[in-house]
Amino acid sequence: MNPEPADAEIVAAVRGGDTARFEELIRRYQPRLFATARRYARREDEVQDIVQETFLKAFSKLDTWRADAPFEHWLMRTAVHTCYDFLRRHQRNREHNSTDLSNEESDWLNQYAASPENTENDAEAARSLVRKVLEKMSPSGRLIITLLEIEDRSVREISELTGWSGPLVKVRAFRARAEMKKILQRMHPEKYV
Amino acid sequence: MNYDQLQKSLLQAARQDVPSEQVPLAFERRIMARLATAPKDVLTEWTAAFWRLALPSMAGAAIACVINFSTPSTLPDDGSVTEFAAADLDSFVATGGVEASAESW
Repeated sequence: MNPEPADAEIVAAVRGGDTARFEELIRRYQPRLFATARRYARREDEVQDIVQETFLKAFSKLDTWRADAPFEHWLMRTAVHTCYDFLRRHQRNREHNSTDLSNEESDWLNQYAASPENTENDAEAARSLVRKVLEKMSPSGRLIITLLEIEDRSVREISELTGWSGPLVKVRAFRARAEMKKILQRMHPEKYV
Repeated sequence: MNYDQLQKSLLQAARQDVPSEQVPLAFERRIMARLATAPKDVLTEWTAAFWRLALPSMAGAAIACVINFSTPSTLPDDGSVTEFAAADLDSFVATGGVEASAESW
């Protein structure tokens, strides 16, 4: 069985005019890109749009890839930028209503307020609640919380992915945590304080 | 309510919420079809072509300069060429060269 061709080999072929080989790169990286896009978009058609846009951008800018960094990193950078653009485009659609918690989410918060140590963090209600909180956040806040806190990436990695400087990543992370806390305080009725 | 603790708990819940890597059927074909039908960006292609040509053009110019400066001039440097040119001009004017050439039209 032949080993899979290296990314650099495929990219060279595509640059040389054999554009059909770009399909190999799509097949190789689309699962990862779908998982990334699903962190930022809820609707499946939006997820597909993000992934498609990422690959179209990658194809048109293939000449800018230098083989000194793995192709995957370069592609992920394009994906993160596309996700960020998507968040900024949909910024106006963010929900500002603080009374949109489901019964399950309210119950989970009630239980958490009563006894945090006995509340399950992996409950579906907690997961849907955090999704709602993230949806209310600013694009940069959501991006930084996702990369830093949820995907557990380092400041340096985030800096490479976003193109922001290290200090800017730290400042935005600090602001994002404060923003998240503020949203929680707004979402959560005062009666629990 | 300790909001810092709540935040930590929710982020922990988010970490456990791993998104699916599932891909729609034949998604790669859809992208390839889009690539095939996508209108070409003429401006980008021209820009790229000019950038590609920039280096060979500079190299050609540099080579031409080197050849020009390294090759000795074939014209004598004693002013005789200028004298010949002046004499030619005088004879041309004196013989009515302009009129003669006009008549030939």
